[in-house]
Amino acid sequence: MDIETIFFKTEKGKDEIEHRSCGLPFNQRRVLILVDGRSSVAQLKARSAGIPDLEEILEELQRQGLVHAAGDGVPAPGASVDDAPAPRNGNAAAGVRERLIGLAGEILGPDAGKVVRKLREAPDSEEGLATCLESCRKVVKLTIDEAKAEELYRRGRELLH
Amino acid sequence: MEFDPVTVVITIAIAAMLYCMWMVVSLKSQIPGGVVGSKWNIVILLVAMFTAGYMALPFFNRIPDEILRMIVSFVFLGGAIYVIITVKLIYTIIQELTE
Repeated sequence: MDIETIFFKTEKGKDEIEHRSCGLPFNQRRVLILVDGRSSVAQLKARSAGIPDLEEILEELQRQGLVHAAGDGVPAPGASVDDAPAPRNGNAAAGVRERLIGLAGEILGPDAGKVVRKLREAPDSEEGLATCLESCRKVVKLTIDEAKAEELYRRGRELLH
Repeated sequence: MEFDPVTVVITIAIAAMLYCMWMVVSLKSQIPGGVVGSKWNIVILLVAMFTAGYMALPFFNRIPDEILRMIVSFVFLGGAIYVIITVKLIYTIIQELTE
């Protein structure tokens, strides 16, 4: 497993956190909670001290459809524990970027890699992110799914405003 | 061994088609869907058809004329469809990137 891979919770994963319907063992549940759509495997490892075989647990969660990977080689973001991070140090654009990345992971699932990479490389300003979002919409429309492109763009614009 | 320019040209053509086949198949994983992805399976199918046709070239002299004419007409038809798909894709991509 690539330690730069970023994992996202699936709808089933989010549901499991709330309802415990799968009856996950303690360590698997802990890792599922740690998965936030921004931290790489390396960062999860650092935060999950005491949990052996983190990678195997992630693979098991992936097999059960509780998490999905956002593509290999995506540069790791700054560590954050929250699922919906608020702007930090007054840097609103950075907060919006993280939310856009989370949104891309939610909508595009395992195909989010390219879009996540583009969002990470976007300038740290609202204009820069808006331009990048427009560009991501085109990439998704051409290579992933037209409906998902429109959803990403619509919900992304809401986050930007 | 006698130098046969036709064999050389056919060999180069087959090699080029095999390279093309490798490219369309490896690109598939990067284009799971969307405007391009939806057409990509047809492109793969056409390239596979051309590759098979090119590889059969050295045996064309053993095929009866009637069947050969039929094969060639289908290859031409496939070629026309391939060109239409490619041009339409390029058109859509340019439109999308310039709007």
